[in-house]
Amino acid sequence: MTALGSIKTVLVANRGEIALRILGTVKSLGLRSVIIYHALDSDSPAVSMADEAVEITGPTPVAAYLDGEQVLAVARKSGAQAIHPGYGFLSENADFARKVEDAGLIFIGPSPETIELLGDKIRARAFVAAQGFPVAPSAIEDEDPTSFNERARALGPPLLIKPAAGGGGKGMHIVRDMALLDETITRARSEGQRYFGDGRLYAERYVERPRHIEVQVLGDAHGNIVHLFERECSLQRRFQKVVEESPSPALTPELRTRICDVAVGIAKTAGYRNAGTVEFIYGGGAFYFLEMNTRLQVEHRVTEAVTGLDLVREQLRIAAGEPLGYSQDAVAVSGHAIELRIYAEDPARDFLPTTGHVLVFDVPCGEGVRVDAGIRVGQNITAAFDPMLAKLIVHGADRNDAIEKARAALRQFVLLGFPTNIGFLNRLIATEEFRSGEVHTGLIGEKPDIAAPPVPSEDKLRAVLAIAALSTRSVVDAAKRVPALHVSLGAWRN
Amino acid sequence: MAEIFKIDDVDHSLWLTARSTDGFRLHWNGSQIDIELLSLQGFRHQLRIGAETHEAVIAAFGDRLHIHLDGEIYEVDYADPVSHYARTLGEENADCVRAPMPGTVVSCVARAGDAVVRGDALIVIESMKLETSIKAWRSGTVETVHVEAGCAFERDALLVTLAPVRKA
Repeated sequence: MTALGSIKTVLVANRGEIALRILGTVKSLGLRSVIIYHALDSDSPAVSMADEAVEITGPTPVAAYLDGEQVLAVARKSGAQAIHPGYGFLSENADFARKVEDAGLIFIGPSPETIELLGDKIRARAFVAAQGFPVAPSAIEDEDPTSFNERARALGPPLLIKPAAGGGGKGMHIVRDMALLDETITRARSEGQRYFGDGRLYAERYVERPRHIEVQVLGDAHGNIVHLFERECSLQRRFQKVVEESPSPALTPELRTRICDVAVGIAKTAGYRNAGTVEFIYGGGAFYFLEMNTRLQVEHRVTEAVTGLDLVREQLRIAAGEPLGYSQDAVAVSGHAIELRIYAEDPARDFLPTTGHVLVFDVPCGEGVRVDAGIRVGQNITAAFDPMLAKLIVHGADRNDAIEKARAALRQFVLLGFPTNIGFLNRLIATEEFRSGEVHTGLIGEKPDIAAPPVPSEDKLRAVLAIAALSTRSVVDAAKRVPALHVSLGAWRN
Repeated sequence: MAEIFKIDDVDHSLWLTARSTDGFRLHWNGSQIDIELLSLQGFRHQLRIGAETHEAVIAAFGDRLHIHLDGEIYEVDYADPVSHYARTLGEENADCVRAPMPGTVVSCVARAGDAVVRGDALIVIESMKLETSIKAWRSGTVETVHVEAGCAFERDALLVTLAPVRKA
């Protein structure tokens, strides 16, 4: 058993693909691993991979993973020195991070104070603006709740209404018709209250056809900060990312330097420690600070592919107190990487989540092709958790090479049992807009024609029906029962 | 006799005949073609259709076939003629509303016994990030609310039943 500083055992407080991803690095470093799991996940790949697995319970499956007290109890009992929260769940919960520290354990993330500062969108924006970094015009409810609707109205359309405590697009609404403003505010408040236990809102100028560009940073406990360049995550549906890539096709070398320098500046001013992501909205030649995510991102694999760094390893080293040990000049980008998120959802039905049993799961492989997934055949996919099931990451010599690899890999990606977005992803990256790099966050909404698969040609439909008929025992048996004489007669009927 | 397969709610009527040698003949849409399905490995199959071959991954779950062909998925339901008819009749005089998607119940606005007017909110549901009101599709009396706030449901789950309208 090896150790990283004082860390010998790491508790992974997450599930699905990210739990498996973190466990992979924990194991490769020779550290012992513990995982928590809800009964619904009892035979998931992550649970079998960990050295120790402890069941947690809750009124709902999600509530179990959000129960910091149970997680802490497991950490103490299993002898873990550090807790990796992954993304979602407890990853940006300052109270939890503080409790972990108070228990004498290591929270693999920034300090609770940093999470409080950057996790609250309003405080983060105010902080960033005060340091002279660019933010979009906005109205903040907290500053004067009674005049919030008026101030939001004064910004003019289009407006984006967001929960102050939000993330992941939950509770976010665009208002184009100001007559709907009050109604939208009421709904966003109700959603914020429900998702985050916090109904406070803010409104900001919505940049039309904006691009979402974010910068990955790493900060150690010794004040060293580097950036790992940018990711473009403009392809979104329902405010959630679907396709991410690095480098961004939108940035010139000068703009790349500027946006990365701003990200490093923000992280430095915040005294940031851990892997983190500074998100920007980019449109009309200007970029605005959007928010900072103080955790590992779903799309971190894209950065790993182009930089060759293992971000979970860097997180663990930083948490153990090690200095980064390299300077900005040592971080270089090689080739182009694209990540495609595989969701259990039906693009033709407004991307609503789908459910069912995983009947076949057969993933593509090859050089520069990686699949992160936390599911197994036979698993029942329910509405209890996020519908993201897997990520396909491709790495090519350049953007076109990466697109070709992604197209081939998506065609080979077999996940049967319920509708998924795999076919949609392939149609999406085949569009002229994506190929030319002219993407923006509203693009998917503007392309309803690719939401549903194309109407199959007569030949394709015939092939599908042939397969269906030959796979249905009663149909095959009925055919076999008809004597050969009638078969020849039957042929005459047409 | 014709067999019915449904793809995206469209019925396709076809039948097979056995060839004297291996394989079958597909009769569909006014034409015939020789077809044969070879099992390769696991769920992988090779379809021979006329002079062409396709590789497909096929899995069955209940009466539904999930077919992966050339990068697209097709869900095909086998409908034997009897149940096919029963289903068509059932939809016309529905007194209940079913879940259009999996999700959870945010709140129940209506209670059993309430009189509702067409368009009144019955329950508020939420799926991932969308909050939607399920509204009365006709005026009447609420007979049963099958769910309660906080509970999760799957697609097609029974949500609310209105009392049947008595013919005067």
